[in-house]
Order: sequence, then C-alpha cells, then structure tokens
Amino acid sequence: MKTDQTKVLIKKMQSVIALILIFIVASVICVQDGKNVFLDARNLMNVLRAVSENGIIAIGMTMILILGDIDLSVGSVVGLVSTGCAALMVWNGLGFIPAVLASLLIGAAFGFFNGICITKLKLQAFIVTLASMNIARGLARFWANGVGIPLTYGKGEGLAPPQFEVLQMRINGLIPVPAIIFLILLLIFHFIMTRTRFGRQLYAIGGNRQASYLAGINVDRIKLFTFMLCSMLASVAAMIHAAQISQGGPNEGSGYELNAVAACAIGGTSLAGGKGTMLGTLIGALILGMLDNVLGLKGVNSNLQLMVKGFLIIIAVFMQAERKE
Amino acid sequence: MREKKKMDLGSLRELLLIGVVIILCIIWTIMNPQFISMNNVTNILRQGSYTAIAAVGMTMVIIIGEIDLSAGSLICASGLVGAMVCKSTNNVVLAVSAALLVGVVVGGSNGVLCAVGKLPGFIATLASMTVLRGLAYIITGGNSVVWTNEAFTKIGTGYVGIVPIPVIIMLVVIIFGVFLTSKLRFGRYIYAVGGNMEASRWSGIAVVKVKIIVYMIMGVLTSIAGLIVVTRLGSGQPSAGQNFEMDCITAAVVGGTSMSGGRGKIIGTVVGVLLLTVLTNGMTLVGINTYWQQVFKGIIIVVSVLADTHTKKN
Repeated sequence: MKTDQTKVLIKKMQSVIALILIFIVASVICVQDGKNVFLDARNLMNVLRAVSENGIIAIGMTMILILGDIDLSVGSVVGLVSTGCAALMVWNGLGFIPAVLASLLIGAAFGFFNGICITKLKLQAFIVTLASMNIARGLARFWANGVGIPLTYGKGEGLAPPQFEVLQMRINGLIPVPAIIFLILLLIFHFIMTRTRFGRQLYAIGGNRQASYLAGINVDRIKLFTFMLCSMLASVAAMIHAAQISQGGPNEGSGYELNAVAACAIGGTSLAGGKGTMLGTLIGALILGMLDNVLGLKGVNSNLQLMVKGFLIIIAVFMQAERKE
Repeated sequence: MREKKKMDLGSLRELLLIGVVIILCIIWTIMNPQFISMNNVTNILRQGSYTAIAAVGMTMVIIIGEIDLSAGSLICASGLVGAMVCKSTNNVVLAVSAALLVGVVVGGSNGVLCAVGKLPGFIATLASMTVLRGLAYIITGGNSVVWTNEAFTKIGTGYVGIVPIPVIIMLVVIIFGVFLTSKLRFGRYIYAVGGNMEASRWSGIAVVKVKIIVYMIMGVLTSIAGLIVVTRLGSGQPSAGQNFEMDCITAAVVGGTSMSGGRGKIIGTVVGVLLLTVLTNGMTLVGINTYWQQVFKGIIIVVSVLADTHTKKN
C-alpha cells in the first residue's frame, strides 16, 4: 500500500525529478578549465531570460489546452505584435504606454477573432487558429514591408521611447526584467487557476463541456475570454522579444506555438483537455530552456538540439500516458 | 430516404467548391488572360500535384482522428535520401525505393508511437517533425544535394505526351485513395475508428493495426510527394517543405474533412487542393502582394469551414 503511494508520488513528480536530474547532469558536465560555466549566476539568469518568452506564451497555451482547444496563432501574433509595436513607436512616434496598450489591443483583437469563430460560428480551434496564423503573419509582413524595424532608443523622430528598453534590462546587472514579468504572470495565473471560480470553470469545461454547460457555466464567454487572454500573453512575449533583439521583425516567432505546446505537454498538461497546471508548465518551460542552454554550452550542433528536443517531447508525453492508466 | 438526403448534401458541398473554383478562374482570366493559357494550366496542375498526393494521405489520417505534422519534414527528408542515393549510385530505382522506405519507416514509427505508445498524434508527429528536420540538416551539413542522373530529374519535370508526370502520379494516387476509402473494407475501418474508436475496438476491428497502416500510407504518399518536389527543384535542400503539412491540412479541411475524425472524402480534399492552388496561382499572376496572399488564404479557410458547418446544420 505504502509503496503504491510512493509510486504515485514519483509519477506525479516525474517532471520535477527530470528537471532536477538535468540540472545535476548539467552542473557536472559543464566544467571548463576548473570553472563551472553552467552554475555561473549569469548563465543561470540567461536560462531564465530565454525561458521567459516561451513561458509567458505557454501560460496562455496551458489554459487553452485545459479547455481542450489549441491556439496555433500565437507564434504569428508574436511576429505581428513585435512588428506592430516597433512600427508604432518608430514610425508613428507613439509613447511607451500607448504603444504597450496598442500591442495588447492587437493581441486581444486576434484572440477575440479566434474566440468568436470558435464559440459563435462553432468552428474547430485548430482550423480557426491555423487561419489566423496565416492572417497575422501576412499582416505583419505587409505592415513592415517584409523587413525588420530596428529599435533605437531616445527622444525625438524615429526613436523608440527609452522606457521600452527596460524590457531588456537586468536589475543589478543580473536579474533580467523579462524573467520577473514571467514569474509575476505565472503567480497570477497560478492563483487564478487554483483559487478562483474562473479557473475551476476552465477545468470543468475541459473535462466535460456538455456537463459544464448544463451546470450553468457560460461556456462561450469563458472560451472567448481565454482565447483573448492567450493572445494578449503572446503580445506581452512579443514586446519582450522585440526589446531583446532591439528590432520588431515580421518573421519572428515562427514555431513558438509548438514550443509552447511542448512546454505544456512536458509539464503534464493533457492535449485532450481538463488536466494541467501552471507550475507544471513552468517546469516544462524550464526543462526545455535548460536543455537548450546546456546543449549550447557544450557546443552541440543546433540541428542535433532539434532532434534531442523531439525525442524529449516523446519521452515526456509517453511517461504521462502511462500515468493515466 | 434520409440516407439519400445526406449524400446529396455531401456532393452538394463538392459542387459548391467546384463552383467557387470556376468563379475564381473566371475572375483571374478577366484580370489576366494569361491565366487560362496552356502553360499556366499545366503549371497549376503541377503545383497542385504534390500537395494533392500528400493531402490524400493526410485526409485518411484526419478521418481516423489523428494528425500528421511531420509531413513537411518528411517531404524534405525523403527527397534528400532519394537525391543522395541517386548521387552515389546513379540508380533511379534504388533512389526511389530508398525514399519510399524512409516514408514507410517514418510513417510506421509515427503510427506505432500513436497507436501502441498511446501518444496524441499531434505530439508524436510534432516530435518526429523536429527530429527529421534536425537530421536533414545534420546529414547534409546544411548544403544542397545535386545529382547528374537525367532519368531521376524526369520524375518531377518530365512529360508523357502533354501531361506532366507528377500529374499522372497524382491521378493514380487519387484513384487509389478514393478506391481505398469508399470501396474497401479497410476504408470503412478508417471511418469507423475515427467515428468511435472504442466501439470499433469492441466490434473486432484491429484499431492499432489500422492506425499504423494509415500512418504508413501517409508516409509513403508523402515521400512520393517528396520525390516530386526534390526532382522539380533539381536539388535536395534541407530546408525544403517547411509548413507543407499545413497546406495539406488546410486542403483537407477546406474539402470538408472534419478535424474531429470520422468524416471526410478524398475527392473533397482534391477539390480543396485545386481551390488553394488556383487561388495562390491567380493572386500571383494578377500581382497581389504576397503578404496579402497569406491574409486571403487565412480568410478562405475560415469561410470554407464556415460553409461546411452550415451545410451540416441544414
């Protein structure tokens, strides 16, 4: 009986265990000239910074997956919003706050479009978001004429507001601002998912849509709202991305949707809906980010990295499939 | 009586789509008479051929209730293997069989992961998509692969009479797909498993086997498409076929295949491919900005799926 409980506990914690294992292996193998390049504070902060963009998108994706839907458009929304906010600031001279609000609005608009098509027109999320993925990417390229818009900070014509640069800064020269934004958002959404009615309703809809509807949950409104949240989170990631690379590029963000799904899946979110946690997604994103970092530090070919990632996703989801039985 | 009505609605949908294609053709011809020239028509058919070939397989995968995201990477990988074998052995038969073998192996492993490993098809094929793409870059070192054998090049560029060889291959594949899904017991199994997997299992269908075979068919058809793409391009590129899977899925869905499985027709998919190809070809001929083309493509998807849900409701 006791061993059964331990087994269940081990299964439940397997992604945490995997994270710890990768951490330990990384700390051991990354010693160069008697110095540990992985455990270096600056490197660890790099991992966090790299994780934060994918992590922020994955927060939204987790909610969508819990609903039993999927959002393929987030990557293109990242491209559109990073282009859009750069264009608005550099070409149209918008200030920091208006630019941020406009960016969030673009995201919300796409989420609204996705949500309306899915709830009111009863289309499948996969198709709707596949379509809006095309639409957003096309709009982004049209807006910027296919090329990136470089961001230089300062006051005056053609310069982005200096406040925007904060998004790529580090506090005390160490802790990256994006990571702080990510962790704050994660805490907020963890709270929402575990402590609020909205969170419970999401799980309910994902678990059994019909029953939730009959139980008086306004399924359509919640779906619509969740899709808007997801696209707005993608907009936040887009602004961070634009600040990080000092450029708003219409081709940025391609493949981000799959990275986000991968983080969720590794973290234990079920693609069939009704199951998943924010903390799991955090761990999934950390595993992916840490792996990227270690493979990069060891100078592993970036194409080999792709393969390793692919195998990792299979293993992770396979372990969960067993857990269900 | 009821059965008959349903069938009418089904073919109505394809007729509707063909109507849209014809209207599009008329519009493009008015805007640019070049559109209807022999040259451009063969061009459209050739452009559509490899998408149609893989989309036939994708339709079966979707009908069975799964998805294959690895098609784009497999197009690239199978083409590369074909090109490399042709380069080193100068033997077309060997090159083609090697490419098809890649398709069988990749499709089979997708199927095994999905049916035996109980992974969602989305995840299993997402993983094989990244693995294959990575492999393609590793084995080529990022360089393109060229060959000298003329006969191999003919697969994508040759003609029989005035008909391009890819178009002939496409027709064979379409006939195979239609026959398989509508006339054979195996085809009915595909619909049954997609409609209700549990019920199919209880009624004695070897669900695992059916799934694996469907994924294998998908793999083989994709590698045929890969051979056409690579021989048309004239060289194997490790970056080829990106987002190709989305084109196949789009064509299937535009053609009336339901993403939740159990419903769909090969002919619908073929019309879907035709619609998308005519759309892109015409937009380019008329000189619509490529950025806008993407936007229109997205809108077309939503509108056509919308039409689908409404024919269903009636």
